[in-house]
Amino acid sequence: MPHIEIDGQSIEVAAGTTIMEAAESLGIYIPFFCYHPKLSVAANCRMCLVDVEKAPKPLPACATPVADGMKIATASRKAKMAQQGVLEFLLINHPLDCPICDQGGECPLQDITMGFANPHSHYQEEKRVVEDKDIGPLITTEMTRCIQCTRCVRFGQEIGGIKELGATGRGEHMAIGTYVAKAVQSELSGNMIDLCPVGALTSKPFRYKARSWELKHTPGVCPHCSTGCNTDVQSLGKEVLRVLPRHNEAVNEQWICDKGRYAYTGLNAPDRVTKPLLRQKDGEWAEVSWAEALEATLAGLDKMLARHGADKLAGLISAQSSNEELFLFQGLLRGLGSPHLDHRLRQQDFRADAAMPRYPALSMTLEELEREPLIVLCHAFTRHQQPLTNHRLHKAVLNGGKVVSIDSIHQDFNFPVTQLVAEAGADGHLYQQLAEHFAHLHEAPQRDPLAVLAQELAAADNPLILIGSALLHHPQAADLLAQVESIAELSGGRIGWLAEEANSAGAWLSGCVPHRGPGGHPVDAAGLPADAYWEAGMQGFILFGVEPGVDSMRGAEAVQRLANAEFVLSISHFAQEARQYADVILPMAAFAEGAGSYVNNEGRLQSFRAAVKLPGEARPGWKILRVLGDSLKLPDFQYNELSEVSAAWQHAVGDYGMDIPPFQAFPPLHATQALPAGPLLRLGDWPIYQGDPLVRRAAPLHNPLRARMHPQQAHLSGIQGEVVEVSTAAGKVTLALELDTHIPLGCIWVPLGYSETAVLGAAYTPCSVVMAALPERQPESLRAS
Amino acid sequence: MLSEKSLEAIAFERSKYPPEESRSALLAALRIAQEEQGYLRDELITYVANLLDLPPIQAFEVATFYTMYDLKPVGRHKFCVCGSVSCFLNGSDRIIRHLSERLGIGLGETTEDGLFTLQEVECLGACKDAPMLQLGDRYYENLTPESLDALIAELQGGSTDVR
Amino acid sequence: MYVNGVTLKNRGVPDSHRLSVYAGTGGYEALRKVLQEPMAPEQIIAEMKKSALRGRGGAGFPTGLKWSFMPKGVSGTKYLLCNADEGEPGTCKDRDIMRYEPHRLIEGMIIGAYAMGATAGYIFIRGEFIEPINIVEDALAEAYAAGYLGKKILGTDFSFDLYVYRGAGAYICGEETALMEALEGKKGQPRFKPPFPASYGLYGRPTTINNVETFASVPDIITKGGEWFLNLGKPNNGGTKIFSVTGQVQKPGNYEVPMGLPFRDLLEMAGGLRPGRQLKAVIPGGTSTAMIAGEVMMDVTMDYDSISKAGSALGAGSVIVMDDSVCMVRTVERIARFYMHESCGQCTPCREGMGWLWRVMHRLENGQGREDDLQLLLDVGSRIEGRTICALADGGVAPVVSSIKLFREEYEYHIEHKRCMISMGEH
Ligand SMILES: Cc1cc2nc3c(=O)[nH]c(=O)nc-3n(C[C@H](O)[C@H](O)[C@H](O)COP(=O)(O)O)c2cc1C
Ligand code: SF4
Ligand code: SF4
Ligand code: SF4
Ligand code: FES
Ligand code: FES
Repeated sequence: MPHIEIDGQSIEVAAGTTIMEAAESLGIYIPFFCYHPKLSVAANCRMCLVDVEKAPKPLPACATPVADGMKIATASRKAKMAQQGVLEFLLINHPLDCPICDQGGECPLQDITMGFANPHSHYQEEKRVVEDKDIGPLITTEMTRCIQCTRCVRFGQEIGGIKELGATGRGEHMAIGTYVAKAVQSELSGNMIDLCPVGALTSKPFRYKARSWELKHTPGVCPHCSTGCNTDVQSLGKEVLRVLPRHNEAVNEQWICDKGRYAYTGLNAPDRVTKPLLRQKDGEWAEVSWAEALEATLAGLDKMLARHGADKLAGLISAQSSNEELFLFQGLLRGLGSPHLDHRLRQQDFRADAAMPRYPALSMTLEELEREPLIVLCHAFTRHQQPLTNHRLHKAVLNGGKVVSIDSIHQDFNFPVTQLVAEAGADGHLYQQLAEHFAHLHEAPQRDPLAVLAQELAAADNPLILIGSALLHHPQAADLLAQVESIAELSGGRIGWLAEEANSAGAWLSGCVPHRGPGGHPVDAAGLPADAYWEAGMQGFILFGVEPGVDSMRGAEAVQRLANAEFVLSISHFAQEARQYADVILPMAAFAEGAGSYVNNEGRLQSFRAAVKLPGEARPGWKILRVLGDSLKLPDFQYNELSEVSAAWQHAVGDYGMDIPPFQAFPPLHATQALPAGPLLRLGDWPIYQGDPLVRRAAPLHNPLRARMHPQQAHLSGIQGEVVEVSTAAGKVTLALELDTHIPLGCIWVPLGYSETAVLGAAYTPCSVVMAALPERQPESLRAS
Repeated sequence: MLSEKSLEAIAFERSKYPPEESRSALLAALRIAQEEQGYLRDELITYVANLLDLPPIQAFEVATFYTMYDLKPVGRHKFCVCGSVSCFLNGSDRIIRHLSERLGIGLGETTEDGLFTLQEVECLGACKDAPMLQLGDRYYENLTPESLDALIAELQGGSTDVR
Repeated sequence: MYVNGVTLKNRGVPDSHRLSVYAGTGGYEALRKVLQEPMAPEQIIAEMKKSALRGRGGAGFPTGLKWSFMPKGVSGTKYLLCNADEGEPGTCKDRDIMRYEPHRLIEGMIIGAYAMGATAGYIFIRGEFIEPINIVEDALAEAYAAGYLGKKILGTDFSFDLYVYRGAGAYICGEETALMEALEGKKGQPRFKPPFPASYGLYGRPTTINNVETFASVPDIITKGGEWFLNLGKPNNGGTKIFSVTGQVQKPGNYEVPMGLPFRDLLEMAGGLRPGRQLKAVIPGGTSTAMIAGEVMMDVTMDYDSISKAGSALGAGSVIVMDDSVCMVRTVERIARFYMHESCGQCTPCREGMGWLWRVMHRLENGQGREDDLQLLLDVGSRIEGRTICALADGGVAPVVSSIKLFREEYEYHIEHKRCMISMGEH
């Protein structure tokens, strides 16, 4: 281990350590711009030059490995001269107008400049002007400020999977940009804003909203997927102005995805509710006081229960709700005598319920995921579903691991993944074939990719098999699970679960499933699962943070049932959908407005605080539930503080490990049945920016609604234009069509999560497709503008 | 977008490098595309990138870095006059002025008939034969106003000798 | 005196680029000797060390020593590259070797590959050199046909594939790591070193790179011995070297002469100055090397050590001669423009500094100089030097700083009188 001395302090560091890293561990600051601990070393800015004894020239600390006996001075005259010289070069073409720059106040260039005695430039020539580039709706560019550090480009190549950004031209004409004004296509693109050391890349939605030092910072946890990224919610007054990553090496390192970063822009969507709403006799809605709304709620529930009994009451809650809310919610439903409550609106097949683990756990930490040598993703498109869990998979690949995806369609991963795609609807068959190959492991050489995978799985030491949410959305989910389990057994591997939503784990642990109570203990009499409520003729509903019209597989049917029910209470942030069927809408705290805790995919309990005041008369969800329970005279609802609810939750849930107990056997499967046949199979799932009420309303994250079909299939189906009409047994819709070789033959992909496509009902159903013309009237957008 | 012949030439270039290093053929592929089509339009650059399975930005980076790629249309005959020091010491400025007057165009411009483009370039590695210029595949060295006039006359006469 | 006797031996012989001509004058005998005698790789490297051949690409690093750095016993491909990017103003020797003696270069590379265990090689030729490219391609085809390249060369177990790679217009690709980047299909941006090419070169594999002239010197070193080569020149400065004498001499050209020849003699070989002219200054090794005043130069001998003692560098042996008709400000402005144009742009001092230097030079030349401009140029230069990734930036500073030191009064005259003290006329 080399022994070195920096500014008179000695330290022993591992061979290969750079001077920068060694200085960091001593707490010695060396100015830098291009260096970033998570990126490859470019050594191009030259800001970190230091004075190394016996070296004739100053050396870049970020790129120079230490050698035994090295004596380094970071602030000697020689070092300072070098650093100051570089700084001057950086400034000669940089506009010196920090007061109007969006980076002002949080700009390393500004800070470092202040730290030097003589920032005054001798440069009297004309400054370079660089053209700004349009790289999409999320990032503003001001390229004259760019100092060509290439952090953004390296981030794109090494982490973001951004294939559009580069540095073109040479010499002083070197400029960062995309080619032919392309938007950057990456769910991680916003991180480039944080990485850019100057105001060249800034947040478009945040533009001119505030100066950084005016902002209040509140630690948050992202509510948009099960990774549970730690965030820094920044606000001014009542408004959330931006969301940035909060450093946590164990969870999100220093990144967040664009969903986590920009979803807040949906907070002021036009249909945000801030006052209790009550449906009047004439069907119109009126804003009422809380007292009036509660009174109407109690009366409505009473009447419904009296006429139909608690067995006709059902509860649906979002898995974005906090543990505290989930816990109170199940207490409310069960206290009222109804066993029918669930958070799994998107699932269709619940036959495997009894065998499900206590909660959907990754069964390892995110950091451990990086070191897995072989990972098989079962119907899991992590890039869009858990973007920063996906980043760990990317790192596993960089570390020499291999990732295989088994899915219904080809997915657009941002790192090399071997993809096995089922023929139209034959997902079960694909898994079954894979399992069968284990019987013929020694028949080399194998060409069939399934056979190769079987061999690799058998050869691997304890491979990891991860189950994704699309597998659970499948109409034959239980069969697929059983097959996946047998593959895990055959290969001596482990199963892990990629939980779908931010608090799916908490929803299971809190008992928001019909067959298990808090802590995962089975209940005496199990209720019905979510998907059954529409057919079971439920008469009363309590909805908490959900929009079943777009959040469930059979949205149109759900809305119809809700509209016909006797009494519907919607506790929600947004009113648009609930106005169609609810009787009372209670306004609740949304993202950043309330406090609580989540359990992420690892089983990590993380809490968050309210960052801004509640808008209007909205109330925290847990308080609404408490008041309801209290007014209904239910036991265990006498809480005053959130901490009391948290404690009760802890007590009820008990201990749960990050490592879930071994997999329990799924019901044995019979031969996989074929899906009902039709001219084509309609596939679909929830796209990245359509997955929850808030993100659906975030204007900058908008993705156009399109059906997707293989060009060859379009040809076979006689479709030439760019618009099609898709019909299923449930209904039909006219949509724009995109030709896409990712979709297998015999299928059309129609996304869920849009009110427009809800009429088609569930995915994996037969459909027919014909050419059409675009409807004249476009449906109203929910998104805030 | 490219002829069979060009595609074959690119495939041949590709074969010079290890199979996983298709990127190594990028500079050659861009050159071959430019030789066939005169200059590199955006779509042509994208096409070449796709041909080699590369993200288009990589091809754009390269196309904008190297000086031999033309991103805009140029004349049929492109005079690239060296203006670096050895040529300068031997009168390259006079050569440029002479050409400019004779052709009626300034540096970086193309004649209206699309026949000639005039450019000043940096050292072409023929400094002992200064002043010199490159025209298509050939170097013309030890230039004088008279030798330039003869050259222009030959090219205007439709000589196919050059490109 | 041994003139034009090593790398340009056959220049002037008709069809000297053909295999038949080369073979007829002892070509590929060195390769036969190495493979059939056979000579062990270590023996070859020892001979190279003895010859005191120093890299002809500019840095003058001892070739034998460089070859010995190539790791032994590693699995996977090792690469051998030839740097034929020749782009520094004043340098035009490699082009002639390739035009007249391509087989000498190829033979040198095959021997090098054998000595270092490389199995694939590329000759990186600047894209503008279309004639040399075609000649080298033809020569490669001849060498393959004759069994000097490809599998099982001359019936031995040694195999080596060699290809031409065409550049696309960028001086910086002459820097060895930028050249590797370009070969990988990227922008030619130099890499930070360490790691050095011998451990992490082309495609991350062990790689050695030498200049055209360096390789072309190898066959004679093998046939005649390192000792013989060393004795052509001076200790530590073995052999002959091509000097490209350009600028204001009567017979500019490539002169291959023993190391240590007095400059005076070289100038005479190049026809001397034009009638009535005095020697003003000489750039001895290409524009990246510092200028030497004429009267000093007249007493310098042409070898690495002597020129270095005179405050400059032998570089690639590109001798640019300026007589007293030259306006220094205008000439240096032209040189500064080259470096601004050729900076790859990745590191701050070079990207920003080369343009700054040129802009001030340009102002001075156009009669808009300011009083403190000379100090400014020196200051800016001192902030660039030694602080960049590659040596291009230092090369861009050298002519500016050295010319100010030598010809300060000329610069000052420009500032004061807003014009030149020498009427260069139209050049
Ligand atoms: C900016 C720059 C340009 C260079 N250009 C060339 C060149 O055109 N040809 C060359 O052989 N070496 C050139 N070199 C030197 C090479 O980096 C390298 O040292 C050389 O190819 C090694 O070969 P040698 O040891 O045989 O000289 C250049 C170096 C720099 C920094
Ligand atoms: S845009 Fe920002 S991050 Fe990218 S190179 Fe410029 S300064 Fe660096
Ligand atoms: S990866 Fe998941 S938790 Fe992290 S920011 Fe994105 S949506 Fe939020
Ligand atoms: S010194 Fe100049 S040419 Fe060399 S790497 Fe830096 S910017 Fe590029
Ligand atoms: S931080 Fe070291 S060179 Fe940029
Ligand atoms: S200076 Fe003109 S060719 Fe070299």
